[in-house]
Amino acid sequence: MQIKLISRPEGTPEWMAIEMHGMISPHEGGFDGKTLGTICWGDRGNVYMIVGNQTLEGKISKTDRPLLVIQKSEKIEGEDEKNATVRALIRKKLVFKVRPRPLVLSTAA
Amino acid sequence: MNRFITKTKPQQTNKRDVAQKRPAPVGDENTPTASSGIIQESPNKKAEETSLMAKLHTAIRHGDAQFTFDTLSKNRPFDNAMNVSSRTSKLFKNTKFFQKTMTKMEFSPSYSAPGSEFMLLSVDESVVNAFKEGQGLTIRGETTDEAVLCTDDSTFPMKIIESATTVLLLHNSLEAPDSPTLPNFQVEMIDGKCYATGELCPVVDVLNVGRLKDMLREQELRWDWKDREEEEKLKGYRLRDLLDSVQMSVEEVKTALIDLPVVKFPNGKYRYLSHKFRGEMLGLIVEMIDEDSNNDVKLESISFVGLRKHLPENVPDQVIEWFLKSRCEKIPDKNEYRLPEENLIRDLTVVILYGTGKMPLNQFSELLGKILPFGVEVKETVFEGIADISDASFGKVITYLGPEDLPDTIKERMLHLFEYRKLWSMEQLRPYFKDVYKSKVSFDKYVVQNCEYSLSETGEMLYCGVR
Repeated sequence: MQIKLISRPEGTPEWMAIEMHGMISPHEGGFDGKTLGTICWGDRGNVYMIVGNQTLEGKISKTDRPLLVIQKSEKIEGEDEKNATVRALIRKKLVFKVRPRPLVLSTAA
Repeated sequence: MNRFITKTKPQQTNKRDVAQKRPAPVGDENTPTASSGIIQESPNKKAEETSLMAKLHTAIRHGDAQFTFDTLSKNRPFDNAMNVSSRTSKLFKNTKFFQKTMTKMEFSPSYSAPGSEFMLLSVDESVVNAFKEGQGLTIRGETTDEAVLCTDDSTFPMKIIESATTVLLLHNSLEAPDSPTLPNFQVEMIDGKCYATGELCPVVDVLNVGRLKDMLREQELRWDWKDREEEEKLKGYRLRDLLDSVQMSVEEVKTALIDLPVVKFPNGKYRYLSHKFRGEMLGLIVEMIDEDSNNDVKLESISFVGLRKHLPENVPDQVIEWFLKSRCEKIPDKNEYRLPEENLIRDLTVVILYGTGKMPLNQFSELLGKILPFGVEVKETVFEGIADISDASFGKVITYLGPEDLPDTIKERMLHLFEYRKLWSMEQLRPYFKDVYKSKVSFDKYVVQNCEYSLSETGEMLYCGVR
């Protein structure tokens, strides 16, 4: 079996990945159109994301090696060849390495 | 707002801890009554915090950036990041430290559509460059194989990585925005997710010829193929058929085919020439060379027309062309070739020894002498890489070790050779791997890393086994 990786006519743009430990799952329904959280930007690539009552601390970093973003292509009838499309390339990712911490708001501050 | 939770490993807590500490409830910014806290505080203080949390979530939901910024910038861990401006504003006014822009991460409306699911494959920069230059990238292998990714000329094994991380994908690149003087929100879309992650292993520096040979040999061209002509026309494999099963790049397959007795026919199909076919054809060619009346087939001058005139119909034109190109040397500016004696001897050696495996050297020399055209001398060095001469109690013995018929995997071939003879120098081993290792350096590296050795009296390294 052969699966050809093809590019799109408009080229291969650069995308970005967000990497989080564990799984995220919606309380009800799907994720479509919902908000994941709010990012507050720190210095030196540090990032804080508020997700509900929790805070995730992360950092923007370069990937060790480039990542090809591959999408299965629908099989064209009458053609034996199977294709997959390289939609994008990823060189940067936002990584949340540590566990979420509860967001504590103090009025005293 | 956030109707989801992040799942993490449950932490072990004893009942006393539970009584003292209240775990942070999973947040829902849409619920104003959501509360958070770690240490039990006085009821008034707690109510204030609850109220502040609810206000914050309402502010985020309604896009009240000023309130959100004011609240967060007074609390950890945001105070360090967001308040840098107040400490450094004189020095870094309007620099990236002045982060008053907050980014809302929203799932796109088509996030859960099948088209938003992607596989991520970690690759070398050389693969990216090859792809950008327009080289084909192809994943190859049968369903039971570990997949490989091939560029036009290289092969990389693929490995699927098991991971417990969630990877979300954004079409835009996130970066700290240049913040305006007033706090504000910007929105970024999460456009897709990753369902599998893979990585490429280092490039394969050996030709995986085993399956290629197996496939081609299944449908080899036999000497008596004319007896089943119609049936035979359907046999053979096109390059594309081979690449469906063989885990090699196009260039690697083409390179491997050059070393094999394989002929390409006008219908685009490749056929392997059986040992019998080659033996019979070579016998006829030697007879032609010996025949004094045949002036168009001589060791010094041999042509397609000459061979075609004398060879029977069951030797197709393409096989004659293959013989001339693979075994002979073209004479410049002429449509003729020269057949080097060495090539003829080597081919005849394969023909003689393939069936028997080994025979006494004197018996072999006698037989070879009878077949070879008059005046051709045989030196023992000519057998390098196809046969080996060893001492036995009754005299010298020649053993067939043609790479074509040796095991195809490197380790098995090594074991086969070490079983035949215990000690080999690197130079003695190398010719038996010429068909699979195209680079001397790669082969030497394999031997050094994987073979056991001992030192001879002269200090030479002699290899004796595979680790």
